[in-house]
Amino acid sequence: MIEIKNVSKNYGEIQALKNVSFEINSGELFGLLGPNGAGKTTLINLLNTYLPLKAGSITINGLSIKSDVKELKQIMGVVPQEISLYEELTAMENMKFWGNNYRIKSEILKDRIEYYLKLTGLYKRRHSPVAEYSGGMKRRLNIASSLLHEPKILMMDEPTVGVDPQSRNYIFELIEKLHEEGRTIIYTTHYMAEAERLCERIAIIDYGKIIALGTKEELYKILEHKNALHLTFIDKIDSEEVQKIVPEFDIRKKSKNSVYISGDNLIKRIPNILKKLEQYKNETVDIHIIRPNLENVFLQLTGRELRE
Amino acid sequence: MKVFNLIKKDIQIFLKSKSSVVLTYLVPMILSLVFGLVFGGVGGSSGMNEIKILLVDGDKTEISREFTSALDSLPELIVNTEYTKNDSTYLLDVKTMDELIIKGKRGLGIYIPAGFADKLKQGTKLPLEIHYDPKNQIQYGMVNGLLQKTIMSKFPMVMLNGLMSKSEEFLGKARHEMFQSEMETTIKNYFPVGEGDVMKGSTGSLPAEAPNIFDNPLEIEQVKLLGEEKSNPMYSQYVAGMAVLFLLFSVTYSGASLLEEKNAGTIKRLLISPISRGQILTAKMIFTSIVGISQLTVLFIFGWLVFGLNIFQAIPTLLVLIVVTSLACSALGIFIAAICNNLRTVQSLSTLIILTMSLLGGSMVPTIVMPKYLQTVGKFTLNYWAMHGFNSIFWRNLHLGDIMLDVAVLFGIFIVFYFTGVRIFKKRLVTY
Ligand SMILES: Nc1ncnc2c1ncn2[C@@H]1O[C@H](COP(=O)(O)OP(=O)(O)O)[C@@H](O)[C@H]1O
Ligand SMILES: [Mg+2]
Repeated sequence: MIEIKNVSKNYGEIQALKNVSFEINSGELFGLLGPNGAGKTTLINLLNTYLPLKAGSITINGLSIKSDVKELKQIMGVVPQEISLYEELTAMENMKFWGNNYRIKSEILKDRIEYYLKLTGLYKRRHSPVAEYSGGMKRRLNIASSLLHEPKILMMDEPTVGVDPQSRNYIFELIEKLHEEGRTIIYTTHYMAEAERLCERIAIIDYGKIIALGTKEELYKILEHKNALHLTFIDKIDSEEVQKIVPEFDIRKKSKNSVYISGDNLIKRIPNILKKLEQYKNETVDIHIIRPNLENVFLQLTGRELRE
Repeated sequence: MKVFNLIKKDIQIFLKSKSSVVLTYLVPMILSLVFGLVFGGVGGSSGMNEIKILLVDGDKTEISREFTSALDSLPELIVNTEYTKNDSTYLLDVKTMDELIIKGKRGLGIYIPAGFADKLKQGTKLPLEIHYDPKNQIQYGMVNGLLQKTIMSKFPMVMLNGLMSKSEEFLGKARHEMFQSEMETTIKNYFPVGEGDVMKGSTGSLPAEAPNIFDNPLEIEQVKLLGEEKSNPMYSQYVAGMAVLFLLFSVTYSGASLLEEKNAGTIKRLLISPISRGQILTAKMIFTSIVGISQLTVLFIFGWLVFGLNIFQAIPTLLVLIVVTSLACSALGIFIAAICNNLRTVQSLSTLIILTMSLLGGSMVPTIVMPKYLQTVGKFTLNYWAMHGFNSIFWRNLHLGDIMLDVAVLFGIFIVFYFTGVRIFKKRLVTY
């Protein structure tokens, strides 16, 4: 179990983490979801001892992050946000190098290298220099090289940034497999769909604060209204004009020509809404129902969209 | 073993980059070849300071003493006939003179053999020995010229005798005697000199081996004390300079690779693994030194193959010097990388430091052509001590005991730069 208590972190003037406290259970696939600059990497770097912890306390499986660094390093694996590989070296050479930083018998290491290269679909290209890899392949190797010491706790910092769909699927399947093997995984992302698909519990982080935490079902409960309608008009709209037409619903502007409409019994009242909109000078060109999602949770909590 | 793993990785990366291999080994070879060829001939040079030379007077006559002080009074020369040992001063002998030259304390010494004054009176060619280190070919040429000038101005009768013998050859004996007596009368008429003072030596028959005046009146025996077998003496002088210069460039490259790793994030990953900052820096230092040692070794072997550089006469001493020089340079490289924030600063700062040091320290131009104060400044460079050490081995056939000071200074440079570099780097490896 990972216990994070009252953790704060400043970079000079910037408060990257503000009094963060939560727990991650053993064996859990835990998501840390938040926009760029929210403080995800900072928290990961405190957890993996790269950054010194000065305010608050963190224990991992009962070991203190301050005093038990040696033991912790053996059980932790970190997939850094940046691709941290030697581009000049081949995948094989990188794997050997990173593996040899831990005490692993050479025959065992050899088998594991083969196993993880196959698992990430890189075995055939194992003798090519990393510089010749695609972005997705580099990401996969970035993950594979963190697994050689078979860490019980795995921290993955945005491991799918900039990858092709094929690589993304490889990575998701890999993570699910690692999770089934009983590892604790902390997964950070700014893609809400990834967190929804993969994670058992999710903490939403914004401006260094945890603003919500729970399973996705628990998080959806935060939403005032379960569903929403996404209405797109042919021309630019003024959300106040739309509000006047349907005063009994909540209107939130989505883009210059679209809005979200939400309210009680929304689905049943769709014909009613559409009828009322007929009198609006702006023609409705698209309508669809939006199921509850973390995007909307974030939107409701912060008034901002998660993307960008 | 983790340090070994780190070093292995750096070597793998190094060997995969063709440009760094070429830059480390091939370019210095080619450049030292060019330098060796360019400076292989006689190096004409101007603007030198006065040359300090040694002199042993084996003749010990009025005339030899006069000759000695005439040389000393020349603005170009400072002549020492004595040496001090344990606070006492002794007159130089040939053996001590040679030792001093071999040790590089002086570039050159003159030996006036017994019989010098007699030969002068007879008007025959004057015997002199110049003992020197062939590295100082330029000094030798200058001193040789100065000796001739001094002889001709101080002891003109030597030249006159030559003139006489030429005229006898041309005019025949009878007419020559006529010419001679007429000359004598003419000179007596115009100059207040006593009978017989003119052309003292030429009365009676002329010496058989009277010098041709168009020749050098001196019969100088060259005694090359060192490096006689070297096929290209100037090359040896330059190879050490070149080697140190390129060593500095290649070590800053590998020092800078620490910054590169920091930017690429691999340092971060290393620090997350069970690896300490100390191990990372130690490994980088060892790797850099390995590159340096291999570079110097390759370059010296090349020098031996092409220019007959004398690398075998003191192998252990040479190895010690190669190692400390590489350590000192590597530490400097790490230090430069440590104080810079990015690769571009490393490049420009290291180029500035390396070129300045190499110029002042004698890697590019022999320090002897520089003004005195610059020569003193030059002693504060790594290049000076490394080159001094290497030249002591290649030229003076000296051994470990004799280059202890060079080794100590270089080791000191290593300690100072490495430990300050590491201190700074340890703080900067992580950006909090
Ligand atoms: N080394 C640093 N120096 C100064 N500020 C930093 C540093 N690293 C991160 N920050 C700032 O801290 C905040 C959190 O950054 P980070 O943890 O990287 O966010 P995330 O990973 O969620 O995108 C941001 O405002 C970022 O600009
Ligand atoms: Mg981040």
